[in-house]
Amino acid sequence: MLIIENLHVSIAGHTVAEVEKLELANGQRIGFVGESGSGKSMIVMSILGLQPKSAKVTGSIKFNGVELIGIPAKKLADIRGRLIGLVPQDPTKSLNPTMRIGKQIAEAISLHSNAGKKAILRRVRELIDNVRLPDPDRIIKSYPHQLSGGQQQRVLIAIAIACEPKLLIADEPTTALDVTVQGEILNLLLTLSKELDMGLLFVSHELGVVRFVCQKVAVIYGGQVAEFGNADSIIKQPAHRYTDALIAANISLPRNEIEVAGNTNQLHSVRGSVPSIGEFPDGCRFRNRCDFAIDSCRSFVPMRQKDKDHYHRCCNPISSAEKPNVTH
Amino acid sequence: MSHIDVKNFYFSYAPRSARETGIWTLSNLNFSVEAGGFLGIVGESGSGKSTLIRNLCGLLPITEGHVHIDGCNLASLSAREMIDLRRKIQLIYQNPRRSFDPRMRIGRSISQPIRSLEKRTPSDEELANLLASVGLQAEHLNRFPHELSGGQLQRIAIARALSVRPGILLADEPTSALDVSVQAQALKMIAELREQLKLTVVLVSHDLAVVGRVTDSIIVLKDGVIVEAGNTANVLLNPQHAYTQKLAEAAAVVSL
Repeated sequence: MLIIENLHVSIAGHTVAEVEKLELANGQRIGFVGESGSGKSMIVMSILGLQPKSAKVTGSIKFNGVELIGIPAKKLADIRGRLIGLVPQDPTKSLNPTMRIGKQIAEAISLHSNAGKKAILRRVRELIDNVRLPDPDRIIKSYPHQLSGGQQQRVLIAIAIACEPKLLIADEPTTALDVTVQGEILNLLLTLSKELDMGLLFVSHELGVVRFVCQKVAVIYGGQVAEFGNADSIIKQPAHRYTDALIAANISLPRNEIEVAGNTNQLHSVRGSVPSIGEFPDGCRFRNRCDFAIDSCRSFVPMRQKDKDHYHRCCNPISSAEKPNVTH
Repeated sequence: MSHIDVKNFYFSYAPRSARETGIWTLSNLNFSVEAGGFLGIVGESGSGKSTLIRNLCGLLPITEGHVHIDGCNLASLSAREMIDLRRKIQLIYQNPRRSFDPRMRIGRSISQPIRSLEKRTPSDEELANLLASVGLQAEHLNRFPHELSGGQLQRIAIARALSVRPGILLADEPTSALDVSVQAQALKMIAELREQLKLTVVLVSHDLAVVGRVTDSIIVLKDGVIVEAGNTANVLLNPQHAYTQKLAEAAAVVSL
């Protein structure tokens, strides 16, 4: 359904994203994971033509056979919202504060169809029901500030799926929410994806979140796919040192006395910080933060295959004999 | 004597109507933290966690009941005594980007507590030492907040809070605005500085995993009421209240 090939995004001459090949099949769920500044949003936003104006995009992004790069604005506008939906990061900043919820959902429908008033209202109720919001009459009349963050995110999901898109892009949809609400929203996205046979492109900085929702994971760093494979295989047997560092940095719920309280030796973080655009090293992008860097990391690192469906670009990958840096 | 002692404490933003209706933002809280203790407060948005933190440092008044800090009753402090108390209790906030003046260099920002509470201007060497205590270099003093990452800024916020040598550190969701890759670092830093400086720390978070990793006791807050309290290991490994169990499940979903 979605095929990205030789995608190259640059800003002021600096490469911010380069993806050789990435495919998403119908109804498949894929997660993009990386820190802020890793380029994950840049890749995703260039699918929708929402990259910054100063960004130069080349290569090919094909959606159901239609080339999206260089597509006329009008044609892209027809695809956006109808065939590809977007759930933004911060629900509290993404709804119009002066417009009632019902009208905002209706807008998403009427933009792409010429249904009558009654049919639209019926569909709005159906959507509110789909995203498991109670009391549609009240929700339709409410203004955004009268709803909680989690409810607002449900409204945005309703808007995104209004036209039953084939692909839903969710850009950190739970980062601004509480852990308890996060679980509910993740469940909703997972259920909707299955019910509507809708592909999901899920962006997050948390591997745990992505594993819960997605079948495939692409770990992004320095604008490149550092590792790609099935979610379970990436988390249980990571190859790339960056993936391993991200896994180790996850603060997981303590499961025994040793993990509870005061044992700060079990708290890991990724050394250093993500460089600014244009300041990533040559060769392996991660090598200046990596404790396992070797000489060959200095030159271009191609994608290698670890297993069937598991690829990475690490010169000194974690061997099967080595225990990953994690307490599974 | 406990370092923080809260007894029969009630708070409402509209006290008059709360007394009539009996609906409080925080209702009948009882807990204490020993000197050098590490308390975690967990609950979802709207449970009253941040309100409680503001009560503890005198940013919000006490409506009913008692809050004693270091043996002083917060409700009966004069304005001058309140200033002294501010030196003893320092806060770090959720979003480090919003807790620094964007027009001030870091050096000037972190000298503010010393300037206003100790009425003196700290030397560059003193400021550099402060940054060193959180693993940053003197060169960062000349930077502006936008030139630093979220993780670095949060460490600087910790250094700034500790500059006036407080006995109590209140941390309101100090990791939730940070990237996963540096959350552990900020948390570890708080835990280690607490050991070194013998601080009493209160850590607020909606994430049971974060609180569970570092604190030695926990209170679980729901709609302004404590629904479960106790030793961290007990609360975490054997949660009794349905709400605590729900929080644990939510945290387990995204744990690796």
